[in-house]
Amino acid sequence: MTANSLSLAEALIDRQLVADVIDMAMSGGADFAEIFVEDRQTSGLSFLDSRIKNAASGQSRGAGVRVFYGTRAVYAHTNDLSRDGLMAVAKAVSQTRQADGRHSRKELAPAAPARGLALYKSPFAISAEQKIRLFERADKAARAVGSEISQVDVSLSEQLQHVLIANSEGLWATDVRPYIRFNLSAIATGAGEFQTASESPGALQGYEFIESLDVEDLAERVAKVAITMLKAGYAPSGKMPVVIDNGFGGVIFHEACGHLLETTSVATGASVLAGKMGQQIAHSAVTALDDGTIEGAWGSTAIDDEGAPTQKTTLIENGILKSYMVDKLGARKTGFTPTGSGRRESYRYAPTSRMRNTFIAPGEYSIDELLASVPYGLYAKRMGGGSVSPGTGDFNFSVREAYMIRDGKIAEPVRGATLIGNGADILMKIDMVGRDLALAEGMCGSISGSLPVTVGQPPLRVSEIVVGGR
Amino acid sequence: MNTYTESTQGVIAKAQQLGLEAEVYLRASSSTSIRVQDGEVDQFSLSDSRGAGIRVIRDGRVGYAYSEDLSLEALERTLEQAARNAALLESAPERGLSEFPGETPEMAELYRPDLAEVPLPQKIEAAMALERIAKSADPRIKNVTSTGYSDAHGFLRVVSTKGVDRMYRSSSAWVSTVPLVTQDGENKTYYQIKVTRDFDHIDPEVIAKEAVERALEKLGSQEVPSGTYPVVFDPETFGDLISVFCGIFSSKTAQEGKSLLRGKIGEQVASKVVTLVDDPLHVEGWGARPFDDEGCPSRRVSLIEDGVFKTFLYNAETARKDGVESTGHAARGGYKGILGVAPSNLILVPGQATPAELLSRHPRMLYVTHVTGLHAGANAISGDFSLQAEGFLYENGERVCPVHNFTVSGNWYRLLEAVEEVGSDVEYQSSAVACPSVLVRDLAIAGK
Repeated sequence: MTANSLSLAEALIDRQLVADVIDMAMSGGADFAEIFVEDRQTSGLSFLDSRIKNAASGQSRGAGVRVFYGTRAVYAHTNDLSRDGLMAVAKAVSQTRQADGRHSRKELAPAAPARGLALYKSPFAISAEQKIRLFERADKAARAVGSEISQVDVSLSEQLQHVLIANSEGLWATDVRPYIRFNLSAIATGAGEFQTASESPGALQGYEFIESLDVEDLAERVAKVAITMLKAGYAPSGKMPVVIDNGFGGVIFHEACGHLLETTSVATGASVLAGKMGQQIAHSAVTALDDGTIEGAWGSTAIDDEGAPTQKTTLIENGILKSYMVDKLGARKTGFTPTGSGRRESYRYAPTSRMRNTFIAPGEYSIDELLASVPYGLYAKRMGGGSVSPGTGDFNFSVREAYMIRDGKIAEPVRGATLIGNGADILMKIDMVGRDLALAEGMCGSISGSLPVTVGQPPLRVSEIVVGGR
Repeated sequence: MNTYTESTQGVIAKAQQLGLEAEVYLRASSSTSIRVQDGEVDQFSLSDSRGAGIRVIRDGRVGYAYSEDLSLEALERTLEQAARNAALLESAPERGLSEFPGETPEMAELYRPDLAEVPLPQKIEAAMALERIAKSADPRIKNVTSTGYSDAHGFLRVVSTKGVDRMYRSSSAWVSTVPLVTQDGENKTYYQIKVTRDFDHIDPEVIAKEAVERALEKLGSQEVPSGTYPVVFDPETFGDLISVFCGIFSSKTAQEGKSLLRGKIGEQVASKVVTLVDDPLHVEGWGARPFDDEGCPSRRVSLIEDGVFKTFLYNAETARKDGVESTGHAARGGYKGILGVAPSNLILVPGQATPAELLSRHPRMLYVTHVTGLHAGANAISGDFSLQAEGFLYENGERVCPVHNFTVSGNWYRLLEAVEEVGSDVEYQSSAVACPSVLVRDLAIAGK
């Protein structure tokens, strides 16, 4: 990493132009203006049928200008970064509303780059041959698990995002964010059926993250799950206790509660958890955090996309609601202090409150103790994604790998099923929390686009939930 | 709107100088988006974006690169990048660009220049009226959120060293609103979205009232006992299922060993009442287009006729591999994407029965009007699905009560075989699938 590439976002646009854009944007009486400038390089390599399938790369570059009139926001973006292009955007936002009075801009005060010069191996500097050898190792390991493995997809995607955020409060912040993600999925075939499994580890790091992975071990794990599921029956239907294992199991908290604590839905009263600050909203076994400070984690940020330093935010402590996730506009609407949670996929989106690394804190039980507490139920070892309707709190998430629990012990494997419930209700039913916390990477979609986040939890027990088997 | 003739033709000329086969896939769009809350404009966004994806083929190797800077200089760098990416692949004879001779249809209906001339206050008023009418429609309305108006217009242009240079413009407008209703501590919402090409077709009165009605009819929901039920899916819900599983008709998916339809052309893969076509020329559909993402002229294709599987959908590359003609279904999914295969407008050909008739075919039935979590609860490769659902319980043709907190589970391949009857009520919802109500026998329901 060189100082030269670090200041790339700054190099795209000079300070005087930024100041002029902010002034123009505020000329219709807005009381706040912000510009977000982004340059993003991406590269993707995919491997299929035991050879390279596709190689693609590219560059996006653009800027978004946002103004506030009190609690009302106007946003416009362009990928024309010339003076004319940016001033036209600033003029457009200034003309959308005529407010009384004029507000002035504070002098821009450049701060040190948020991320510092953390050394990392730029994935763009690693040869394709080296990456192809990695794919070959993973592919071979997955196929070696059994003849049922009929297809293996392996891919690597890399991004380098440079951002500059400046606003009328004098903020001038820059950051550089290297993202890297490895994906392996396997298909097992038998008796006219397919079953699939996959893992997708990722990090806010360079190629050193890939070098730290044991790809053979990962490939074997994935292939074994696909084969196990091929031979498994379907999960049963109905309400039962479920033990959800750690890592991606945290998607339950992300969907059942996390989205409902974003000021995006709290501010309009659309969230069922609006107005519940200081109240018991979860079982006393539950403490939950949203932490952007974990070094190198996929959902971490040094500064958010509004230029605010990231935080470790305690959302729920022993079941009591302690904080929402608050962005700048959400703070204006709700009166809560921002938590560094303003995020956006790219310059094409206005930022809004979003999750970072969101997890349930460790409790006291071992996984065996959790299983032993269930005479008959489901052990959800590996989860897929899910979604929630904030207005009702109704959520769903899918189980990819599951086993029956019989007499407190893991019994036969069953194919994935969707678990459904209501957030407010299920938070009260997470009644036993295990010790062994793990995080897992995912992409989260909401109104400000698709963002890298991690979910996480220790193993835990839900006393009763609907299992959508057959 | 600039259509970048100079820089695209410049980079194509450069490719020819370098002896490369190359194609520029250029997309540009402008959009306006207004969200209102409590009688005021809460969020207002303007967007202007464009980008080009370049595909290079050299000695049977293909590479991709994209840029949002459309200057000739940037496109030439992108061309070189794509050529470097191509060098990483092994050679395969099916790769190559095609000339795609012949005429493409006009389809002027896709673009309504007058949409851009609708004054902004009128667009704002459409959203305001939607919120106002929804809020006052019933005393049980607790809140109305996500109410907005958006429109977009833009173009796709495909230019290649094989002499292809095709372009079409399109535009659309859409409104949305989400009423939240409450009664005795029970909350229900309905997500309403309507898409149109014609501003005059936006009737806030009708759209708001329908949204509120659809939310209210869910109040008093019961849980349904687990078991197997005959199920009628409403057109939108069955359309969602078709969209999620339509990858099984892709020749690319099949060639990659991910479609169980591979090797089944001419076989009965669905119930005899199922006839499924893809028609890009059907202008009422949201997937309508005169040519596909590599410039191949559009045509109507039958996928399933009376339950018999007729063909996969092809682009030029997958067609060459199978020794057939492209069906005109190349899809890039945007300038950052790579060449794939996708349907345009899928049409499930309607039958004779009304939805009410379908709902009286069995003594006890479920009418499923919404499924959620499709991205997680449906596996496009195995065909397995287990989805959170909402709907109504019917007994002897009469609606008993709304039902919720249940899942509907099955396998898409089995479901196609289990379709008992297809309704007559076909209409395009706000998607690219035209679908009537569909009666399926014996699906697994997990409830209380």
